[in-house]
Amino acid sequence: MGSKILVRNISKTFVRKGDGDEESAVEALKDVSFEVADQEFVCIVGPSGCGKTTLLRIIDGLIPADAGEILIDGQAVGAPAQDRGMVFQTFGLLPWRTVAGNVAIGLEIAGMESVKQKPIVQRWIDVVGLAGFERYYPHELSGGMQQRVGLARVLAIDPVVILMDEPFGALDAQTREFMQEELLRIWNQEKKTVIFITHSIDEAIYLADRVVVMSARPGRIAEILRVGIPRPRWDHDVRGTKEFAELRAHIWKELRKDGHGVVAPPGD
Amino acid sequence: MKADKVGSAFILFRSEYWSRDRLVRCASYLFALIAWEVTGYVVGPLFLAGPTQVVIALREVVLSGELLLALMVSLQAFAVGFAAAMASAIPLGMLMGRFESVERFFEPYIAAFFVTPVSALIPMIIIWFGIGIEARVVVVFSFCFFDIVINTFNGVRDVRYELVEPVRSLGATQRQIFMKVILPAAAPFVMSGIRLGLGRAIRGMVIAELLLATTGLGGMIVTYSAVFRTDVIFAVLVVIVMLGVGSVRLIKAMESRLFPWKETSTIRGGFEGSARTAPAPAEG
Ligand SMILES: Nc1ncnc2c1ncn2[C@@H]1O[C@H](COP(=O)(O)OP(=O)(O)O)[C@@H](O)[C@H]1O
Ligand SMILES: [Mg+2]
Repeated sequence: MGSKILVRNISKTFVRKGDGDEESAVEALKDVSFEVADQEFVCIVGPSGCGKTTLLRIIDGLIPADAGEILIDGQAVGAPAQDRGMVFQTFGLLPWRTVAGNVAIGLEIAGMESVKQKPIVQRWIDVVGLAGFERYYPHELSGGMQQRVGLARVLAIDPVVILMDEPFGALDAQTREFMQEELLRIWNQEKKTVIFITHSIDEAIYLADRVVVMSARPGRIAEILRVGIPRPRWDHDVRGTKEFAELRAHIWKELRKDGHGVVAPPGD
Repeated sequence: MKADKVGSAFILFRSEYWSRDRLVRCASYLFALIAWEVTGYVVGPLFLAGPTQVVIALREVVLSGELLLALMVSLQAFAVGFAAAMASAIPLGMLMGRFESVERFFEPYIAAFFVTPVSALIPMIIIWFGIGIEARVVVVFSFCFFDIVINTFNGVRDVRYELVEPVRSLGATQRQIFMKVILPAAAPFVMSGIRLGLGRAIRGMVIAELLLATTGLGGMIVTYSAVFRTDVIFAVLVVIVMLGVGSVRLIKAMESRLFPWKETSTIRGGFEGSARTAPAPAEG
């Protein structure tokens, strides 16, 4: 299988103005390279502040890298386009649009006629399990439901690559596990290439074909691990297996090496 | 459907809430009317006409057609001034919110005019525009312009990046971002600017008629105070208050029609908001 996404020598430094005239630079990413195969599910784990969001925003084209390049199907990516779709940690729904309106926005931006939008919007609302909630506003939905809308909005534009930035980070543990399983089912059907960021080791192992472990200051890749646990993973207790436990212990050790632990204070 | 049941319980809760609210309101009005009538009776109509006398006077000026004529004169200057303020303040506020250099350019003058009492500028307005309808239009305009600019500006400037980024990620152009995110996000702020501006425009309208030309509703107050007709003065005041309160109410009603998504995401709607949050299908 050829690689779908090529992340090549990406570096990014943020310069921020302090209180006075002094400037401080944060080296968010340093020489990050990896590739993702077609239809692969890759998870990125790392301590908070190690540049995971920055990396994803660069892949999506929301911000430029200082050095390096991103290739998708051999083409360098520029500005955001509908071949990539991003799901945000804070959902990012438009509060004045209903569920259906939020799901339709990508199609509207692409200039699709509204008669053509309707069946597509309905299909993805059904897939993410929100049938009957089409006319609800985001504030009338639970967090889990809001993120389903976030996912449907991206699926509706039919991207080849889906980028997910801690999409379930704001959800409670039970909803989170349920959403993970749903996501795997959808991915299994749609066969998209996925880059999924999380700070939860368990979530990474449960979802991924491969786990990219990052370390902080500057953000770089510490290790890339293959998760050999057979799929589908939702029909048995994957989290209780020996293989899962070994991977978890390994990644945990790798993250501890960094001297920050899994949760490090961002910035400074 | 589960969510419908939650919805109807929510409406019940609301109607209960409103009937109690209305009771308190009625008690408040009744108290004010009685206090006013008693005071009027004690001090005499030369100083303060009571509500019954005001109603009689109101009937009188309505029937003679004097009130309607004054109202038309007032509303003319009001409508032109307020429309001109909206037509210029909304675009200016939007440009200032969108482009930092436009903000830099205009901000000091906006700030200066915002704190300057417009009444203090009335002598200058007389020098420049005379005392005709043009001058009254200018007063109305200057009274409400800055409220609309500042609210529009804040609304556009404070659009959260979390709203813009997902839409940008979907490949939106700058124009699409403006139309689909910034404009709808700022719309409630623009509306409250219009609502605040409207109240101030009415004040400007009356003040211009008191201080510039003795005409319109303000002119009636001046004319009748010369002959100590407090009953007519209060009748005119009642009309002015009703005009202000009525139009603000109208805009508020428009706001909740236009922005239903705003209703329950405020702290006041907090309980309703959580009551309305239906459980996820299949999640429970
Ligand atoms: N827009 C920005 N301006 C300045 N610094 C930033 C910006 N975005 C991120 N950073 C900094 O870059 C580092 C990585 O941030 P981020 O990519 O959000 O990390 P993560 O998603 O892994 O928690 C942090 O130190 C953060 O403070
Ligand atoms: Mg992040």
